[in-house]
Amino acid sequence: MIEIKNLCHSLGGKLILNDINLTLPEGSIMGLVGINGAGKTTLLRLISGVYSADEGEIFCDGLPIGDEKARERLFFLPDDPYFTGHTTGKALFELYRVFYPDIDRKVFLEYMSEFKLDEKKPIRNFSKGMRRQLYIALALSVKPKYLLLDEAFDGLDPLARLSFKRAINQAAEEYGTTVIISSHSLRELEDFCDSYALIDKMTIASSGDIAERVNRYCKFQLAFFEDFSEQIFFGLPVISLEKTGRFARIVLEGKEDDMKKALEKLSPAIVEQMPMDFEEMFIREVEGRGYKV
Amino acid sequence: MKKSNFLRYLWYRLENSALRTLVLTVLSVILTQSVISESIEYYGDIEHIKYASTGIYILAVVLGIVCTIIPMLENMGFKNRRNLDTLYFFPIKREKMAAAHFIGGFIQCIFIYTVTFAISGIYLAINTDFFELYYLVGYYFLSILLGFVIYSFFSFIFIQANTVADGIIMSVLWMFVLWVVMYAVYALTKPLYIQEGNYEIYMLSRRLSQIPEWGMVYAPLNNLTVIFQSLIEVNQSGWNNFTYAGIYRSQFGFFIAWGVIGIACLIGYFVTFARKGANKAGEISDSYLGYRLLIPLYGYSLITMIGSIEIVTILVFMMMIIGYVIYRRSFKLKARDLVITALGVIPLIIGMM
Repeated sequence: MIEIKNLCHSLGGKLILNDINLTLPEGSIMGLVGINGAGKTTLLRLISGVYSADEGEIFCDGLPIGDEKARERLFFLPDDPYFTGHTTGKALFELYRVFYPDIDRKVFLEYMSEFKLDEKKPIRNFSKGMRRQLYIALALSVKPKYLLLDEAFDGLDPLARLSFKRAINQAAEEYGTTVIISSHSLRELEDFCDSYALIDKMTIASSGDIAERVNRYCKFQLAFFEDFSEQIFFGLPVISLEKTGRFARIVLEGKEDDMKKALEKLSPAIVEQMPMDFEEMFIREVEGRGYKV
Repeated sequence: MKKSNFLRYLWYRLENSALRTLVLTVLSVILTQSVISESIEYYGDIEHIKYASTGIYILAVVLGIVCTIIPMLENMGFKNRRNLDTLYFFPIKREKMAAAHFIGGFIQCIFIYTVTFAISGIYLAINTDFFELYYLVGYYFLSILLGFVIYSFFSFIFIQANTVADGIIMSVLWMFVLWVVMYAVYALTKPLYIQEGNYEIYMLSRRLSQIPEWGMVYAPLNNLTVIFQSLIEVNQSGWNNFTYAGIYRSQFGFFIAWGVIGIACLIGYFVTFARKGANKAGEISDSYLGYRLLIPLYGYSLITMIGSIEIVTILVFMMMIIGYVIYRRSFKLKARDLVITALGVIPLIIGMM
């Protein structure tokens, strides 16, 4: 289990994260979301030990993150990993083998083959997506207990995304790998994350089970016989409302059936329930926090 | 027994730098052999005075160069934030990672120097019979100690910087800074003697005049080489070698002083490495031992040495401004930078007095 307690961190004198408290249970796949510059990458760097926190503590299975034994259980895949001009996949594998002696060469070669990558070719000749795939192959061959992925889908084509998601699920199932993944592709996250943490205004604004959270909201499309005033929704738990002539799209916080009954009382011509997804929920969340959408 | 992460990383570093070490070794051997093979030739036999030299100063040059370059090469990777994202999450403590780079780099220096030294020693033993070559053994071990001082010094200075370019600039500036500062102090005290005939100030001035010679980090190695070269070449009657050696032996305190600096730099390297945040990489090099200190030190010292209002004085002021532009990476300087530059008027007035 990863536990973050009262974490604060500044960069260049500017407070980036303030009073972060988060617990990541074993075996979960958590999506770390937030707008650009919210502090997702900084949080991942702090959890992985790249940065040392100004205040607060991070524990990995009860061990402080500064402890070598704690970090042996982690693998951090940054957004844009470094490589020198002549670095090859094989050379990178050798570097990772220094710190992860049990790294599985067979698994590495399997993924390299699946991603159609040549381990003897210099990485500089790879596209961004191919480089990402190479590091994913490395990450999965290490079989870490905790896998931290920053902007994981960046640069991956749809097929590679599919292979990647499959591989992450496989790692979670086979080795019990716990994953924290930051991304702006919320639809992708929703596919395989079971929980999420939203960073906003330097702290964890909300977190929990994705399905549970999404189910707290419901979305409807309404058509009225004639033009109507927005005032008619007064008293309902409105999260967002888009009005176009006689039509309206509304997101409400509450149980679907209760909300549908409440809307039907307004005598619309049509009340149609629409699917609510994680991305929609995220947009509504940030909208509710004062951001212009 | 399972090897520790530190040992595995150290070995990895050595393996990965093997080609570089080999290339540097070959270049060093070619350089030393070309110098030594020429030096041992008698180039004069006038009135039974033979002139020949071992040319072992070239070994000191090799040691000085590798102990300057390799710390930079070993620490370059820590100036790139993307690289640190990869390196710092590895399960190894920062101090151990620093130790692997520090020790690995010094092993490379010793390897290059030892191979070069051994080939030079064997070459001298085969081709000459008029040198006291047994002194080479002592020279080898003592020179490695002073090589360590150079290595430690540049490791410490380079790690202060946040970019490779700043690291190189700061290393070059630190090479000469003590020399420049001490000359400025000497320039101030010398006229006092001339004008007032004060014996005590004259003696102080004499002592101070010796310090600039020792101000460069290479000075101890250079002076050790002079001592040993004169001992090895004692039979070469063209030189008053024992006297020459004796001069430097009397300045033993300077060797000790540099030894202390070397140890301080070693400690400073590890402390800086452990404390420096990964987010600093690539940023402005704002260390107190960097541009912040070096620009006023150089500026004020040079202004003091010039001691009059000339074009060159104005150039020094301009150099200070350029220094701040390089430091800030912007033409928009802080008020503090301009105030520090303007305060150069004070050493100018002192220098003019």
